[in-house]
Amino acid sequence: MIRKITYTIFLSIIVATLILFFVAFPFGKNKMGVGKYYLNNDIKQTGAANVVTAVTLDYRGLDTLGEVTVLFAAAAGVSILFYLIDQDKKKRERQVYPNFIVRVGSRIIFPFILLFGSYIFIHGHLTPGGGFQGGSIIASGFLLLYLAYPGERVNRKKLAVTEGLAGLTFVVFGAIGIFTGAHSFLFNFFPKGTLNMLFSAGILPILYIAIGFKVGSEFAGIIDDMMCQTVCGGEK
Amino acid sequence: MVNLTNPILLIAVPLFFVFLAAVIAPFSKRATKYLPPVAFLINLIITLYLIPQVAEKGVIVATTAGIKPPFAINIAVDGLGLSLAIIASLLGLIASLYNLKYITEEPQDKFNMLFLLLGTGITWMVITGDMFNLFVAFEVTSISAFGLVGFLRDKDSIEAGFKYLVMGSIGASLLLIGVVMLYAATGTLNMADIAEKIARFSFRQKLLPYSFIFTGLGIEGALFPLNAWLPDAHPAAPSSVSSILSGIMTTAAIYAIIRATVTVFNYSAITPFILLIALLTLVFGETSAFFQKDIKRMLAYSTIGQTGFFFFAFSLGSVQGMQGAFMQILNHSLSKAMLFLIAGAMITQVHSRNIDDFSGIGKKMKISSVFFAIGAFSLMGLPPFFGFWSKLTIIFATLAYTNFYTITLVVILLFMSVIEGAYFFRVMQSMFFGKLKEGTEIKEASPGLVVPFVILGIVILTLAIYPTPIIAVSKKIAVQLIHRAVYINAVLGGL
Repeated sequence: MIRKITYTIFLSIIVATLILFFVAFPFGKNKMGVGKYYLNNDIKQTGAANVVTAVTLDYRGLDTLGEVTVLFAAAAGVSILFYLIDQDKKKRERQVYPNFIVRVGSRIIFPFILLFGSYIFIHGHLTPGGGFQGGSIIASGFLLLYLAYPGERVNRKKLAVTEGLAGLTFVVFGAIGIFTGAHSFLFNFFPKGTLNMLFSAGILPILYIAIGFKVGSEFAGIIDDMMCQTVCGGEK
Repeated sequence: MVNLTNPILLIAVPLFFVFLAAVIAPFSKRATKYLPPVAFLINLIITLYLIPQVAEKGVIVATTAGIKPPFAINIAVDGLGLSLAIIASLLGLIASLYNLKYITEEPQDKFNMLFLLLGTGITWMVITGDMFNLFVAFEVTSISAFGLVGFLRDKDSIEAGFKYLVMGSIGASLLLIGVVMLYAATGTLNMADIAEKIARFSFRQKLLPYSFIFTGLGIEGALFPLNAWLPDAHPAAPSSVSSILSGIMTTAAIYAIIRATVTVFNYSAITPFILLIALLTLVFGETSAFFQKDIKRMLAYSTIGQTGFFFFAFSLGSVQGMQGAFMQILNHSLSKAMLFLIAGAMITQVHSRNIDDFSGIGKKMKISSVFFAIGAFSLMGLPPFFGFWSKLTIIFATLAYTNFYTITLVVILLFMSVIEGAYFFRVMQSMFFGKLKEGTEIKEASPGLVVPFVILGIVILTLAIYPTPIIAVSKKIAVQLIHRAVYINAVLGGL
């Protein structure tokens, strides 16, 4: 009974606040303050054909750096939680082994997944997609390998170095902007090039390639931590 | 002319070191532990360079991508933000020096990266001038904190870490919804731009986005009904992490609420509600702390109480109240961080967190106990220490808050201060006058642990001897915070 009353009170508060918010909401008016500016000035200011990329990497590049960092922190947190001092615990027997088709098929598909992922992030400033999407696709290739070959592991050292170097690339290319004339972090100091060409949009493709490598290696690291909780052996 | 005092370096430099740590960790895990002190030291130097600029110009604005705000993200540092950034860098430096000796568990490389990220996220939160960027910084801070709380991987820390993860994620989602609503209503994310556009909104229209943002940040800031995670999470973490979490992280969340309330929403109509929440937080925190047997849990509850204290002072809405709030923030950050570090050093000797096991260690661990007393005195506000001036300012501000229940408020504040004194004196009585347990071998903690908190103790003692300049500065900061037009013009002035 008390619970029902509490629910009713809370629900009515929420409904009342929602009504208050929407009663005087300026429906039908153009509220695109910043968005309009991006649509009008994107090509002139960044040279990127994909406006979404221009927004995520140029106008709001600091947010993207933050999101990359969030992913980095999450990956580090996962590897802390799955860290086991007793290495023997990891060598638990696996019940089901993948069959022939999965093993051979994954070998054929894996290079194509890598290629597709890299295509997505290299062309991030031209077509839909970008570093996060491409990186996730690459990591899905690693997941496939883990499922097909339970005994094997990726080389974590190489993953960690890739991850770190990609992050350093982002920060260093951002910081160069501070020392150019604009005194501004993430300033696009490279020539903008011709619209719709692969080599255009200044530093944006470089940043997206760095993000692609970083996201790919981080997700691969998370997959490794989680899969090796039960499945694989070998050295870390 | 290269501008080395660009405030964005406060974010870029630690992130550089974090990713550098990721590169060198595969080759030498031990080497990564020297990176956080270096990064925090550089940050501290940059913040010190920024002081004269902020004092001269009021608000320093740094753009990103070479585009003027509100179209690109900007960093805006005013007095309050800069002071919190200084505190964050200082505490980060001290705690990471403490880590050199304190952290022996694996994986150390991940711990050092997350520790540095925690400090970076806090600094980021207090200097950003953009609502969505605030959310991102909030995520960086809280996600690194989740990992650090669960670092020891025993039953307590996993449980606490999971509880914190669930509540923190809910908080982040609520904050995000609030920011999205603001964007939907105003079409911009820049704090100053929102502040200008939201002026035409009525009290009722502001209520929904504000309450989402308030609740989301309130979970991280440990306000009363939302703080169930804190008494578990702060004690379960390693002591150096607890000192950052208690010392500056909850404060950073409260800072974000203050920034949203004053600068962005200009929401004076909500202050009676804030006052009520703050008062409940104060009463809940201090009374719960009184009944604790575990020393770190007691300190964590005391953090809730102190948060309520300075949030209460802020909610008075006057210049004097905000001045008191800032002074209390400063005092609480320094003292609480030091108390947690000392508690950690004592726990390494006593091998227990129970207060009863601490009896008599004042005779063996002389330096630690004396500095524990200094921190406790400063926190509870005994006359020579800075805490006295901050509490006095808050009491005066409360007396100036003319309402029919003013006296009740003052009585509650004083009574809670007495309770705070009571539980700290109980610990100290057991420490200095209690009997040492038979057959225990206790000696002073190693110099690697003692030196960092002694540095912090010297800062507190300096504040106790020369409080006047800081009191004057805090008044300036409070005035600057109230005159929000200065902030808005500084950010949008270039248009």
